[in-house]
Formats: sequence, structure tokens, C-alpha cells
Amino acid sequence: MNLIDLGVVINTLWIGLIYSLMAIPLTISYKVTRVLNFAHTSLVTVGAYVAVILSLVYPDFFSNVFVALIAAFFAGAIVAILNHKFVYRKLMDKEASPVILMIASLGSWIFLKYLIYSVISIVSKVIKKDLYFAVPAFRYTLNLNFLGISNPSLTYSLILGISLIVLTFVVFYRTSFGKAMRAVSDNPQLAQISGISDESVMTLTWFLCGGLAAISGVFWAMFSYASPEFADSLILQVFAACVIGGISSIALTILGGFVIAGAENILMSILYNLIGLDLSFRPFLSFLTLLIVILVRPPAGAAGGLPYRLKFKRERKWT
Amino acid sequence: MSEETKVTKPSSGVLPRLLAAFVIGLILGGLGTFLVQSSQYSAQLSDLQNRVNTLQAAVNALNTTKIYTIGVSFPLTGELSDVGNQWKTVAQMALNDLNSELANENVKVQFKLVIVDDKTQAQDALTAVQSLAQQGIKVVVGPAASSQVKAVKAYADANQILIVSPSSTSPTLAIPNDFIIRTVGSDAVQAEALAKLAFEQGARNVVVFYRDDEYGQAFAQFFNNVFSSLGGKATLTKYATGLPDYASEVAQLSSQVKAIGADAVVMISFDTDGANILGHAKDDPTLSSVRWFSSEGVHGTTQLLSPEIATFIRKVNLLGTRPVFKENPVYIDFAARYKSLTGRDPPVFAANVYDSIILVGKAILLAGKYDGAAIRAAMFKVASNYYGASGWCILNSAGDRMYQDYAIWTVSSVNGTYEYQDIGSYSGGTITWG
Amino acid sequence: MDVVGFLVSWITLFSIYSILSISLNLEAGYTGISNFGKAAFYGIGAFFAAVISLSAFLMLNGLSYPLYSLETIISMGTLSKQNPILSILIFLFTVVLAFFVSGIAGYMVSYPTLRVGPAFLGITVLSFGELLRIFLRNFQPTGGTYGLAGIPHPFAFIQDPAVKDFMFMLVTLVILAIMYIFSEKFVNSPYGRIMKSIREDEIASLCLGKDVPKIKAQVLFIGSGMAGVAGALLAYYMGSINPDIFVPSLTFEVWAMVILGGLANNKGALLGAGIITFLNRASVILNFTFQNLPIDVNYIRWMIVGLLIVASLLFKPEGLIPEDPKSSFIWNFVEEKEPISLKKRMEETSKKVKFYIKKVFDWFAMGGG
Repeated sequence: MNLIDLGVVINTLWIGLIYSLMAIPLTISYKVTRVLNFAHTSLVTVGAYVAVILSLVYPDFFSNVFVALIAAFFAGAIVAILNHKFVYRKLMDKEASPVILMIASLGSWIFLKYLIYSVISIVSKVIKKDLYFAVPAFRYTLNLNFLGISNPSLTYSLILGISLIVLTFVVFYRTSFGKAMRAVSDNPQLAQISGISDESVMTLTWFLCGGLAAISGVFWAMFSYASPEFADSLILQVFAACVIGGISSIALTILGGFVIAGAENILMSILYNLIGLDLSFRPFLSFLTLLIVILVRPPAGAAGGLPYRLKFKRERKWT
Repeated sequence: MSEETKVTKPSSGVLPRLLAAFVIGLILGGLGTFLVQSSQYSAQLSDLQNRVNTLQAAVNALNTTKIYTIGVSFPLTGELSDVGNQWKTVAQMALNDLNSELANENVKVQFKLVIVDDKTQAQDALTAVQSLAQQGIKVVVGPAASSQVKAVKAYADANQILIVSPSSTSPTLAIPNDFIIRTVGSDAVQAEALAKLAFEQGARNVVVFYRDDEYGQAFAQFFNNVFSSLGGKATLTKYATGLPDYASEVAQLSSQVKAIGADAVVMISFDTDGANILGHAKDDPTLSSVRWFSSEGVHGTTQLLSPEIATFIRKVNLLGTRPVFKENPVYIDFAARYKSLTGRDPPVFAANVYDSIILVGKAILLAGKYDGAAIRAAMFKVASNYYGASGWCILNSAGDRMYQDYAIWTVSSVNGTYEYQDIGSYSGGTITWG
Repeated sequence: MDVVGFLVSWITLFSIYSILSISLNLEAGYTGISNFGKAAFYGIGAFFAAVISLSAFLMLNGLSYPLYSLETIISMGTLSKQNPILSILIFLFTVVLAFFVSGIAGYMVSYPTLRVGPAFLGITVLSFGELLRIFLRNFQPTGGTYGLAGIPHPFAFIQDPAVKDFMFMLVTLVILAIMYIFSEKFVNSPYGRIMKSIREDEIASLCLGKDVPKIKAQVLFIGSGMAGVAGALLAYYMGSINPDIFVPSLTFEVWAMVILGGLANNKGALLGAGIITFLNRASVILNFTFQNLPIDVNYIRWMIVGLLIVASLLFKPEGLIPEDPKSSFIWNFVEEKEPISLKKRMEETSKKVKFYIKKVFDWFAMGGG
């Protein structure tokens, strides 16, 4: 019996790439600013809808994927920076704890989500198109035959996504800005003493993270569709990818994205063909994988803590 | 320190205390005056007031337009937000039609809608219906999902609030003598139509790919019963709802179709999931080589008319059933108006939403008073001779729609663009083409 | 507008959510366990109560329908009204048992999750909750996606719906009061101080010989148990439940309540629950006042809710009622003060009241000048 089809593998790659792209900005922003950003979903949605709306309203100019991606990048970046300036910065000035920042991000997520709903409802009335369920117009006009893969959306996503990931690595590990970000994430006080302005580093971080999140939203719209809710139903998987990376390591976060995508596709396929597990158990498998990964290898990163298992091991040694 | 010095000592806290004392004094004084007055004049006053009120009411009834409010609980956000927002437009269309008809006939009654979002959540549906009821509303159109209707059922029955759901099809809600009315038919007949259609088209070994919710489960079960009794073989495969994408499910479906050598796929979906499934299936060689059949859920979505998916639909010759009465002029008019208003075809159950609003309005008129039980009784009478956008709306004893004819739909090319077309109908157990 | 009806339905919802927020406050506020799986234990309580009461009624009447079937829903309509004492007994029995069932679930979940370290406990419990929800969606005996309906209301025998709802509100309020008093006593006991010490410095507490995992597990038992009671109440209140009620966003809503009111303060948890449930319920008035706006009024409504959460955090990042570190009697000893007895407190209050009453009378005597 054929356990895995080629289609399943391609899906894994594609979805894994998008999960990774969504998870990377979440990890970076948590590392640098200590905000577990629930409003991340809104940034993703903003990106998807900027591309969709522009490509539907100005089909000639925005039929080019790159133009749409750049527009989405700046839209996401602006929303993220505004969110930082009006909410997180003010709370940080009042020395709020990370959990307060998290709930504040929950509040701005609720606000942004329904703001997006409002904008969509107005625009869809004006342009007389259904935007509650939409794909960017360029999804159907892309044509590129690359390495024999006939699906142009996939090809574009793969090339652009991988180059974006590489670019993120370069920015994070090879530039002075990246160094400053890492310095702030390691020790904000020390960074400030060394003459790094943590406010400008944070603003730039949000610029980068907001933009990346928005671009991942465009990729999702190219892969599947855009709706005001899609990012909300993805966020747990994205969080899972981050947690596998300990919400600190970018490389492990990327791995996490692919692990979750693999569990949802390859593992599902194997279990389905082997024991006839219902397809409706797919989300079950991603959480199961997350649990197993956490329990087997507790992630020790920015948010890592005090695993009691170590204590018991020591006890055994002593006795 | 003695108590006196504490009191007289000036401090920053004196002003608020004074203010508090002032407010308490005002309240007490007001209450006292009120009590004294009311005890003196209450009898005469109330008598006089009653007379004035009755007179005023009589005069008002003759002169002014009476405004009734219809509550609406739709999923404007959440999983079903796509259809919910389309339905909102439909509901407002129906309201305008109802009001302009009344104005033309010089009936001094107008209707008003209050639309409350229920987030596609059971608990939010209950609070939405409670909020509406507490504002004096006795009849609510919605909520959409069967799970939500169940959540509001106990409250509606106890408080006599009439719930008119345009889309709940769960067989576990066919309860007689309750305050739930469903203007949508049971899917048993549609499943029969779809099964006969698939069998007639030569499908013998099908995979039924259905939503894992009450709608999908019931539909798939009905389909399986009919299809096996016809002599076909149906394999049931369900997929989780509320996911952002169904590419993985489509990949599994493909491998299953290949493994059991199925000759057709029967998709029982709603709109966003269905369009998404078709969007991924078009890239799959296995799924492009079998026949496809579909329920009404995906009918009306714009995505199916995009050239890529439409070519796929033509290639696999997708045929679907949907509840509509044959050559229904009301529906044709409704669909055309809806398209000019929004630029798209009416979505799933749009005609039922339209008819629900009109039926509720007419039932209120017939009942003559704004009372849940009276409107419920009137609703059965009105529905028994009402032919609307969704056809005959006759209700059975459980408050569900009794008769429904079905059309067979597909997407075909007309002058270079793709459009939805009804190419046949199912009525009284037989399929008629053309 | 039906003010009484509004108050009754709001207070019922408020009580249920308050029990949740108090229980989360015990875990997150006092012990520092970031539990993001509240919805799971809430759901366990709800499903337990629904399954037990439905099967009890069916069994006692010699019926053997599946729990989720149409026949069950129809027959429960009459059965629930027949025997008032039986209804109330089953209600109380399931509510009390829901505490233990959910609590044991919480205790068992804590065993693996506490070993991944405090920071990842949240996501682990959340994953557990999602696993449970997806399992229940696919588990036909408890209805699967059909859910369970026709759950017998304990006061179904009362004809007037207003009285029925009022009685139920009273019961939930009493249960809330019990939970509130219990958790106040609990956090001000020596055990409560161990909880706070774990929150402040886990390693230090370990070094002092406190069995941190055990205490955390016990707190999870109590917190989850309380959530289970809230779930059971919800099941009886709504009369029908399905797995999709217990989604993670519900947990986040409870978190927002606790943070808004103020972590580690039970009054804050009550206030937070009150504010958010009130906003959700009362903001519907916008739907009645503003119609035909270009933007749907419902969106504006939820936007305001989000804005208010952010605004109140900006206004008071520590919560509206911040933690009062000296709320326990023991602090008065530490500060070498005489503890204030209840009698003395009451005397002081009555003096204040007398003073204001005197002032009001003086004001009247002076002719309102």
C-alpha cells in the first residue's frame, strides 16, 4: 500500500514553509521585546488582505507578486509599529510584566480583528466583490514553470520564502542591526549601557516582524484563501512551531514549522492508510506532536524554565 | 485622638464625603417627596392617566405607523462569517421588499431589523437571543448552525421567543410543539436526489467527502442509505470543520480514491471549505479523472467561476443538487437583484433567509399582536400558502419545512465567462433534465 | 426593556465566569502557573454533568436511547418537569462530582506538564485541551459534533421562566460565594503563602524544602475542580453543550478578566469577570441605538471591547484592583500591630455611617443651605 503520496510531501513542504515564515517573526519579536504577540494574527491577515484588495482593485499594477508583497510588507510593518508605539511602548514605560503585555496584545488583536472586518465590509460593498472569502487575483495569472513543478504559486512561494528566510538569517546574524537585536534580547540594560537605543531597536524589530508576518499572510492567500478568520485558526499551529523552537532559536522554529506540517500531512497520511484514522483527527495530530516534543525534549530557550525531571535524575544518582 | 477632632480636622477627603452626603440627600429627598405625592394623588392620577393612555393609543393606532422589530442573530464573525455577511444583505433586501409592499398597500405597519452577531458560537447565540428578548423582541431569525439553535432552544421555549432558523438541518431538532421553526427542508430528500443523480450518472463506487458537523453527518448518512439501497457502494470520509485549509484532506482523498478505485467523489460541504477543496483538487491528477457530485453548500461562491476551477468543474463534469423550486420566478428575480447589488450569486440558504424574514413579517401581521405564541401559530398558517424565493414554505408538525424540490446545478461557459446553471430538477422522486 | 431579565441573565453568566476567573487567579495569580487550558477543565465539568444527568434520567425511566438522539431531547422535555426533588438532587450531585472529576483531570495533567518547566506549562495544557476537544468531536457516545441537548434544568418544574432563571441565578451566586470565601481563606492560609513563595521564587521555595511540583499539582486540582463546577453550571444553564464551546479563545477571555481585574486578588477576578461579561452583554444596546451605519454596529461593538481592554491596561497595568500584600492577618503581627477584630471593624463602620447620617440631617436642618 502506498503510505505517502507525492502530493502529501509537496503539501508538507509548502505548509511547513508558510508555518515557518509565520513563526519566525513571532519568535524574533518575543525574543527582543518580550511580547507574546497575539496581534500577530492580525498582522498576517492585514498582509493577506492588502495583497487581495490591491490585486482586485488595481489588477494591472498589482498583478506582479513582488509589488503586492512589498505593499503588504509595509502595511504589516506600519500596523506593527503603531501597535508598538501606542500599546507596548507605553506599557513597557510603566514596567508592565510580560503577561500584562500578552493580555494587552490580546486586546489589540480583538480591536484589529474587527477593524479588519469593518474595512472588508466597506470595501466589498464598494467594489462589489466577496472579500470574506477571497484569493488574490494574481494567483490565477502567475505563470512560471520551474524545475518541472507546474504549480506557479508553489514555485513562487518556495523561491521567495526560502530567500526570505535566508535574508532573515543574514539580517539577524550578519548585520549590526541584528547584533543590536540580539544584544537587546540577551540583556536590555547592558545593551543600553553599551549605547544601543532599545527603543529604536524595538521599532525596527516590529518593522521587520510586522512586514514578515504580512508577507506570510500573502503566501497563505496564494496557497489557500484569505478570510478574516484564517489566521486565527492557524495561530495555534504557529505557536506550536515557536514552542518547539523554545521561542528563541530561529533555526529550531523553522524546524518546528516543518515538524508540525509533517505531523499534519505525512503522519496523517501514514496513520490514515495504516489504521484508517479519520481525517477529522488532523488537528489532533499536530497537538499530539507538540506534546510529545515538549515532553521528550523540553525546549530550553528564552522561555525555558525549571524542568523537574532534572531534579529527579539527580535524586536517583544520589541514592 | 478623640472622635471630634478627627471629624473637624480639614483634610483632602472632606470634599468627596460632602459630595456623597449631597447625593444621598438628594436621593432621600427625592424619594420622600415622591412617596408623599404619590400617596396623595396616586388613585386619581392613575385613573386619569389610564383614560388618557387608552384614548391616546386609539388615536395613535389610527394615525401613526406601527413599527415592529424583528430580531436577527447571524454569524457575522467566526467560522460562518462569509455566509453570515451575505445573509445580512439578503435580510435587508427582504425587509425593504416587505416594507415597500406594506407602504404600497397603505398598511400603517413597518418592520425594523436588529441584527446581532453571534460569532458562530453556541454561547454567544444564547446571549444574542437573550439580549434581543430582553429588549422586548419576540421573534428572532437565526441562528445559523444547529448547535447554536440547540443552545437557544431551552431559553426560547421557556420565554416563548420564536426562533426561525434559515439553515439548521440537524435531524435531532425535529421536535414538535417547540418554538423552533426551520424554513429549510430536511436533507433526507436532497440526499436521495443526490444519490439517485450519482447512480443515474453511472457512479457505483463513490467516496462521500463530508463536513464533520451536524449538517454533513446527517446528509452523508442519508446519502449512504439511499445509495446502498440502489446498489452502489459509498465510503464515508469526514473532514474537520473550521480549518484554514484543506490541502491535506484533499491529498488523503486522492489516495483513498486511488486505493479503493472509486469512480466518483460526493462532496458535502459548506461554501468556503467546498471552494477550497475544489481549488486544491484541480491540481490532483487522480481527482481530475473521476466524476464529482456536490451538495448545495458550494453553490454561489465566486471562486468556482474563476477560470481554473471552472475548467476543472467542466472536466470532471461536477453536478450538484440544491433546494429550489423549478423555474421559480420569485427566485430568479431575487437572484438577479442580489447579483446587481453585490456582484455575486446568492450564497447557500440565501433564499431561505429571504423567505424567513418575509414569513415572519406576514405572521406578525396575521397574528395582529406582538406575542411569541400568537406569531408561532400564525407562522404555520402563513407558511401553508406562501410561495417565496425558496418555493413553497409549508411547515410540518415539527415546525420544519415539509416540501422541497431540488435543482441540479453545474458551472458552464456562457459567452466566454462561467456561470452557474440549473440543468435539471428533482421532484417527486424523479430527475427531469432541461 | 426587561431590566430584571437582563440582570438575572448577566449575573448568572457573571457568576459562572467569576468561578473560572477565581480559579485561574488561584493558579496564575497566586501560584504562577500559567494555565492556558482552562477551557478543557471547564469542558470536562460540563460534559460530565450533561452525561450523568441525561443518563440518570433515562435510566430511572427505563429508556435506552443514545444520549444525543432526538428521542432523548423530546423525552427529557417532559421527564425533567416530573420530579422536582430528583432534578435538584441530580443537579447538586453532578455539580459536586464535577469538581472532583475535573480536579482529578487537572491533577493528572499536571504530572507530565509540570516536568517541562513553568514557561511551557501553558502551551502544554492548551494542547491537552485541544486534544480533548477534537477527541470529543469524534466520540459518538457523547454526541460527537451533535453535542448533547435537553440537559434537565434543575428548576424545570417551575412554570414561570423568570422565576426559574432567578432561582438558577441564586444557586450560581451561592456557589460563587462558596468558591470566593474558600479561595480567600485558602490564599490567606499558610498554604497560600507557600503558593506565593513559589510564584516569587521557585528555586528558593525548593531550597526551603517545599515540594513545588506537588503543591502546583494540588493547586491545579483545586483550580480545575472549580472550573469543572463552572462547566457543570453552564451545561445546566444552556441546556445543551457541544465540544466547540470549549475553544482556547475562551481561556484567553478568562485570562483577560483576571489580568484586567488584577492578578493575585480575588476581588480583582470578580471585577474583571464583571466588566467583561457586562461589556459583552450591555454593548448590545449599540445594536438597538445605531442602525444603518456604514460599518456594521457589531464590529464596532467588539472593537470597543478590545479598545477598553487595552485602555484599562494602559491606565492601570497592574490591574484595576492590584494585589494587596497585607491582606492577611499574619501581616499585622509581622508589623507588630494589634490585629483588628471584626467587632472593632464593625464599630468603626457604624461610627462612620452615623456621622454621615448626622451630616445629612444637619444639612436638612439648615434648610438645605
